Amino acid sequence: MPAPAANKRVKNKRISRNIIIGSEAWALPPLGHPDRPKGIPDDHTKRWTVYVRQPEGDPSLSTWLNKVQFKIFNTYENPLRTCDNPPFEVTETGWGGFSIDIRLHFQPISGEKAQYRQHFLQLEKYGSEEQQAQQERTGCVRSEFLEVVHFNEPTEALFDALTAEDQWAHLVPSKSSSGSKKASLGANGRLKRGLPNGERSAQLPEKGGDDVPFSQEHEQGLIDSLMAKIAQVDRELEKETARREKTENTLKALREELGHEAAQQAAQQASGDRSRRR
Amino acid sequence: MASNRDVRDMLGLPVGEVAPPTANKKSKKGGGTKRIQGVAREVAALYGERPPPVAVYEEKKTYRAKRQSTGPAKKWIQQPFTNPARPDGLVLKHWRRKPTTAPPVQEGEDAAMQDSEPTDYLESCADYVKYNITVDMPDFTDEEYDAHLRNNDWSREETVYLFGIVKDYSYRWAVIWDRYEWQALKRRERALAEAAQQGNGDTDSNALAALPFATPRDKERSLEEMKARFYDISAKLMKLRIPEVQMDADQYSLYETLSKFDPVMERNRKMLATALMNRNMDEVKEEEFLLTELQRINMAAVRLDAEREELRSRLDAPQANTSTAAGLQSFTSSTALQALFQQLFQQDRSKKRSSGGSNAPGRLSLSANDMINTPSNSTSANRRTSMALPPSAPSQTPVKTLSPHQEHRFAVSTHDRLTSGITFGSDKLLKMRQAKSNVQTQKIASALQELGVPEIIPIPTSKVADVFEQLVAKVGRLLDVRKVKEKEMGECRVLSRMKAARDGTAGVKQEGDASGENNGKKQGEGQDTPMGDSNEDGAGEDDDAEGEDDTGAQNTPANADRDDAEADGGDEDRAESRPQDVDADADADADDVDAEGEDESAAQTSRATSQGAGHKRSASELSDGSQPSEKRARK
Repeated sequence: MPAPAANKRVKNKRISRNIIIGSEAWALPPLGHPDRPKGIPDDHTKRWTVYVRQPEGDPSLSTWLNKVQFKIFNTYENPLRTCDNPPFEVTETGWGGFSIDIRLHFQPISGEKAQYRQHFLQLEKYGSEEQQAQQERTGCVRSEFLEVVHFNEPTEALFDALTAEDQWAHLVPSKSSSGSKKASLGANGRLKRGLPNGERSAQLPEKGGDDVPFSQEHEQGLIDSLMAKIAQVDRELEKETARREKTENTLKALREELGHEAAQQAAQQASGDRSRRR
Repeated sequence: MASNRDVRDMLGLPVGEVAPPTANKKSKKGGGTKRIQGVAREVAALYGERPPPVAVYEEKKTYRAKRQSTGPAKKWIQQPFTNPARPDGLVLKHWRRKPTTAPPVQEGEDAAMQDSEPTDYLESCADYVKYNITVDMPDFTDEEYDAHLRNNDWSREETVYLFGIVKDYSYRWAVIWDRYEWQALKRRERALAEAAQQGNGDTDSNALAALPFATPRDKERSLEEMKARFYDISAKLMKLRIPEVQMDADQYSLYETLSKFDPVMERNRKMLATALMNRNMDEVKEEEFLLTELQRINMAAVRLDAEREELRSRLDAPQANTSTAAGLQSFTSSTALQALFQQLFQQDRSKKRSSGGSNAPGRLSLSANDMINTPSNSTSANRRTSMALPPSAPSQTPVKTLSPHQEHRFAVSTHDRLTSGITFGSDKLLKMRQAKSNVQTQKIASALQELGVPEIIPIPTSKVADVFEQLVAKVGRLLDVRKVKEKEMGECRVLSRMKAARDGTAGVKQEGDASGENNGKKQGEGQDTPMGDSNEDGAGEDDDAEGEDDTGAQNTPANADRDDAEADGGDEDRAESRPQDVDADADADADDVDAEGEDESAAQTSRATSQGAGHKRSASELSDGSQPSEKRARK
């Protein structure tokens, strides 16, 4: 049966989009402190936000993302929070971390079903000492991950939408006054990502920075570290192979010495031991 | 309806004046217009008042020539004639006009003339010759009849009679059957013969009549019998005259029809035809009803079959993609594959040259079109031109053709086999960690942990995924090598123990020493490993545990203890499973208890217990005599 034209897909193509799924948590002022907001249960110690967003300067999320549902812990009032428009985030107060189900609803043009992601709400300090120190300093615990969404064989409509230039339109300031031009320059004096004539790409940002958690630099760093691990494993593998050859040689010598039957018996015993252990 | 007066009123005529209509009619008649009859009148009515363009004449008034009388009546005479179609030269007479050249004769001489004329003039009338056609008949000689044509049912005489009558009536079988009187003829002959015999002597005839063979068969011949006989003989004669192989097409078809005549079938056919003719109305109706019913059932069956077929085709697996298959088919030969490889290689190089390192993943991306195009690019020149094309440009449904740079910007990539839908980068990375078996997955996980690879890779892009995949593959290989090594080491140990046992009872101590050496050596090797220091002991111990340790890296002491306990259990099992070591069982059990005691005390290092296990096993392997000493040594 031929598929309706609306659902026609672009064969052999994949479009990838980076999104950031994460959470931030701040400590609330202690009970009785004048700054502590009212109407918050006494035992809540943190304010947190869980969010789904695009890296700074990336093409607009809402091109393909219709709405996001966060399923938070079910003692909260209305545990299924739905965000129909960006920003896709939920802010609450609480005292403990839990796992949040995030349901991504795609735009109808994509013809895709909703997908689940999970995120653990990290409220306490974590990571290396350095990280923990930084978290202590800023009073903010941020835990976020990059997620790459692959649109395999997107529908033609989605393909068009995801390769259109107007995906960056949301970043252009509405009033192009002189003040905004200064704002459009990043900290490093370059044009901010995603603005006209600037770096406009769905790839990771080229340069990392304090406010850019994921970039091609980071990616390269990760790759390098993985490469180092590979080299490590390679060395290990060489040694292991050499050792194995050694044992093999001694085994051969022993086999020759003791004869075929004994060798078979030994092999049986050795393998028998292994199988029994399982 | 308008009355006469109304009409007058409308025409403006005075009401009082009544013109006599009869006068008008009369004048019309007087005008000479004739009543035309028949069709002609209708035609005239169509003309209306206008005169017809062509004058219409009535047929009966057309000219006919008058009969001309040319003198007195002609004379007719009875002319005798001979018919050449007749073989007997019989002279018959028929009426003919008297030739005009003949002199007029007086009426009184008529009789004399008739008598005299046939003598001087005999007409040979050939008009009937064309009707005297003799049919072609097969004929046979006596030798032929005796050799081939004999039949128990037919006498020679009757056969000849049949042939004669067939010839007489020119194959008109209905007539032949009607006139076939062989039996009657025979009966008459017999009657004559009997009459003659009665004259000679009565006894003979009675004796003859009593004999069964003497009575000639004189049953009624059916049409089919006659036909069968005649055709049979015809076919046989035909075959005798012309051998089958030499017959031409016509002759052979004739021969076939002649030789295939089946009297029984023919009779049945006729019976059926008769039955069909003699059906009454009810039977005809019933038959029609049954026929329509049958047709209806057949049609329903066809429809049902079609529906079933459709259902089955829906349930069946989808047909293979023929376009892809066609594309792949061209790569069955090795030369085509070679060409493909060359092309891919060149393409990859040119891509690297053009875009440097910034191009997305280092894997080959091929679209289906490239594959299909390849076979035609047999010459190198063609290949080069095809290389110039951007590799991803000809997608199958080009919604929008993007330059490679644009594709990179919008993170569009081309892949060979994609299942449509949405996938996530982190899922892909997670999947890579999973091996076929649970144990292997665990092993890989622990190995990665040793390496310090985080459980969640923070940037799951495809570049990272590719590198990670390599890493996992390497780790898998490492684990495999390690597994094989451990197995071989286990075998080594068993063999060396056996060797020691063979060498003599003194071997016990040696074995212990040897295994001690073994352990020491292995630990030395273990220290070479670049794994984390904390893991090292665990790894070493695993090695010591006679290669039984599958999980590869148990680094906590608790785990090691459990391991050893399991090792003990294993030993026990083995001991029990070997019936010839019945004596050893008790000892082994005792050992186990001891080992467990050690575990509980937890004062000893796991290495010590595992060493103990090693000794224990060797003990169970050895003869009974050596065991007590071994036990003592351990304690």
